[in-house]
Amino acid sequence: MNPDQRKILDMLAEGKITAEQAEKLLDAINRPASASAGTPAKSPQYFRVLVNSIDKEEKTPTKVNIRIPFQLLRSGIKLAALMPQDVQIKVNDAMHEKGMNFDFAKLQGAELEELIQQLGQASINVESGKDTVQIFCE
Amino acid sequence: MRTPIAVARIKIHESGQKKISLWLPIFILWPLALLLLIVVAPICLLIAPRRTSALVPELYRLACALSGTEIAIENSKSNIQIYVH
Repeated sequence: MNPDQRKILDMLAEGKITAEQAEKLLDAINRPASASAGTPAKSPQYFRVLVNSIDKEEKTPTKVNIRIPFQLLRSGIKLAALMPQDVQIKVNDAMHEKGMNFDFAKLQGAELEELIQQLGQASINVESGKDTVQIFCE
Repeated sequence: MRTPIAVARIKIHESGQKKISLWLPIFILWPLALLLLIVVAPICLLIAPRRTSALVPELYRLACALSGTEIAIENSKSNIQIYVH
């Protein structure tokens, strides 16, 4: 009998806990470590964009459903870093004009993986009247 | 090792038009691309060795990464679906 089990039985004998509580505590310490830690979350594989909107003139629905593999995002960012310098400058200038001070060429290695990890937890839902946009990972 | 995309399915349906359903065997292009690479690579390596040696593997990874891409657009007039495997 391990010390934790002994401690629980002592507490039960002293009346500090009920039999039901003792049972739960014993189950918790006897549960295998992997089960109690929980199975590791599966990393998302795809980026999904769903758009449902109603055409204002024709009053008919439009649906867009796009699934992009995460690997494509990684490859795209790495490929963007290989663009010629003058092209990168033009792209960065265009992004700065739109208020995005972001340089893809500097995003590599562990930082890229961290960005992908954080994107994997992102979930965006936008509703405007009858139009909805959902962006999430699966 | 991941393999590049092999097949693409494209379905286009516009109201009043005949349905178009295409099954594209992209895997046929890979031997041709490899042949082209063998011919062009020495020249590119002479002109820009660093960029070429970095670009070719990334292009291959991009071709592999496209697998699983799905695009579906539907409205009252048309229905377009593209699947890449």
